[in-house]
Amino acid sequence: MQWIILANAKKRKARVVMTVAGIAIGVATLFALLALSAGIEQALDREISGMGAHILLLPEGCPYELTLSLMQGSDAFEHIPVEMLPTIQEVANVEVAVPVAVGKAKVNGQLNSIYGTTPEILGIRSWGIESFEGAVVGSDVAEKLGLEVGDILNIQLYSTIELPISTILEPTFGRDDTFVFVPMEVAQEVLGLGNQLSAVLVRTEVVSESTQTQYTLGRMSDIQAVPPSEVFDRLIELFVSVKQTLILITAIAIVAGILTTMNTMTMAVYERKQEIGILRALGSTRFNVFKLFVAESLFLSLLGGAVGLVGGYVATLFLPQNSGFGLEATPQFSFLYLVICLAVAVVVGVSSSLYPAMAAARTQPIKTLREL
Amino acid sequence: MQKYRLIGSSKRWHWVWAGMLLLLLVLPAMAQQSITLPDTEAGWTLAVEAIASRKPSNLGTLEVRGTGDLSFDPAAVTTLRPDVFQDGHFSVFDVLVHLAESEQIELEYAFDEVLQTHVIQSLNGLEGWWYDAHFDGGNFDKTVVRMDCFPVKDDMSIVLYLEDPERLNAIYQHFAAEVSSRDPESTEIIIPSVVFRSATQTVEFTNVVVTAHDARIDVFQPGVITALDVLLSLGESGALGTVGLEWRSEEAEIAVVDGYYVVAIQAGEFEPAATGSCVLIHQVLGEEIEDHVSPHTHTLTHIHLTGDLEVLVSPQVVEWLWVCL
Repeated sequence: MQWIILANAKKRKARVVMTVAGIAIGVATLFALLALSAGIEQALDREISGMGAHILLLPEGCPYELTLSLMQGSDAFEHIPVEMLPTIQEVANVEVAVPVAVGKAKVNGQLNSIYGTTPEILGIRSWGIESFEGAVVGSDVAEKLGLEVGDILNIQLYSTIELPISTILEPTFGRDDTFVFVPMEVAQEVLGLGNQLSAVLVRTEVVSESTQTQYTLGRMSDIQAVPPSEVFDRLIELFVSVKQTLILITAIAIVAGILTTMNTMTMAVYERKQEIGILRALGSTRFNVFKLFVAESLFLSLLGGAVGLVGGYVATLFLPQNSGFGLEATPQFSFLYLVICLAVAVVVGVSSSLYPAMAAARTQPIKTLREL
Repeated sequence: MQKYRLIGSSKRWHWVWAGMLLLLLVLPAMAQQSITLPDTEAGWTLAVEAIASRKPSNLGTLEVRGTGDLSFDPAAVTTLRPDVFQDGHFSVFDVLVHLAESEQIELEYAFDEVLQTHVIQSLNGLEGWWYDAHFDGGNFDKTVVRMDCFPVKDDMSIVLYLEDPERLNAIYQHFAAEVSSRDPESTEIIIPSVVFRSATQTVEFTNVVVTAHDARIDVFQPGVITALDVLLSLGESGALGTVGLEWRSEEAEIAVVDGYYVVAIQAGEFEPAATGSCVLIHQVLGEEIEDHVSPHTHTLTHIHLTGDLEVLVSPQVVEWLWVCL
């Protein structure tokens, strides 16, 4: 059977290439979609959980845009007065309330996000350092600007401040790698914020009672208390609506692949009627003929699937590596995605070959031999 | 024996009570006024006499980042764009110029012919400024409206800040593209794409010819084209069946709205249902700024910068989105 399939493939190279390409496009799209979606979900999860807060205190405004601004290190123009901090810290179950002021400033002449905070940040971030003094620089920024511990940073926007680098963080593979962490007063002065904060990160003593704490904090005027999990769910919801559209496009590509293969196989049955007649005359059963065409279709589909997997992988290397929320998102590959894509290729192969294979199996040997 | 009478029970008080009752009945009607277009007599024209808008009158503030909040008296502000604004109305840029004239800031500015707008050359010795602004009840929204065309109302929030040079450049390129695609001699503009979106439907009109309908000549000079004119022009051309507008002078805790909300629309099969409180909000887009505006689906400030108050030069795309709260 194998040599018949290979012989036919060799004989009709152009058609085989086009059929394989049709299936490969569908599989490549699916593979890239799965890998990128997983990457985006992982990036959002990493960034939101990486904040280390059980409750986010944000100024009034859209909580999702404000959270994204916070994660991206850009100023959202809505702020919390610093005078509220002691009141927040006094709320029951608040273990630590870390003030944050973010925005973009020129760091050694290049625009970069700066993240003003206090030493309490060490209690909620897992940086593995013991003190927060001077500037603590993310690994990506340090590499980009060629910085080393002890260098003096020139930070400039509405005013200019020079600050020594005390620590260069180990890579966190999150947004922290792209920030320059500075003392709160420095950020407020450089960013022209006066006594204002972008957000307050709250960690609770008893996590199971966070909802009650969130409710109490949320009742304070001019601020809103948002659990990071809610922001994550909402952002994922927004992403899911985009993902659904992409799935639809992928489904169309796969259906196109099924139709292309079906067309190829139907044409093959038509062209090879005499060959089928001879096979049947030589003793091949209808089931043998049916199997031959299903196997041929499966071969083309699996070949298309394999090409598609390679194509999808290559595509993910060239597609934008961001989540659409301004966060970096590296595609995530898994053995499961490989299995799903090959299973789709098998479904394409089998479903597209059923009709042509049944038509081939119905071929009557005497009738076709008469036409020879 | 001294007689005591209940205050307000005398005959002359009856007139006061009657007046107050009348006000109670009339005020809500004035706060919200529904209009369905086309009107049997006026067609797609809105009568400006029917609305009672207010000029800015309260002491306002403008934040210059790095300097702080600066106060201005609207009565002392005059406009640099008398070609755009009626007497008594002015823009965010006019406030800035007023603050410079009252020596609260140092400002160098010029009218850029290529962009057809006033630009800040330097503010307090620094270059690269842009602004964001929203009316009472709104949120900052990464605005891309020309600073000398954004009208000022009472209780609005304005912030001037140093913008990322990449975004500022994109905004200026967007303005330049708008100017280059407009015929300066023509009283009409052609918008390549006008899109209406709801949760389930999308409809696009291409190369829409838009003319001024002077719906807000209480604020703008006759001939100024606004985003609302896009709807009125589409209506006149027969592309829209009906448009429902509501004039709101106030809303909930917002003292000054003074704008038209688009609360219903029918364009062929595009007729989104009102599930709750729904409005059609607009956003001006263009190739140069597509990465530099807030996602349209995720912002409600446009409810407050209503279509009748956004001056159009000649945008590439005007998108209308049906949102229900």
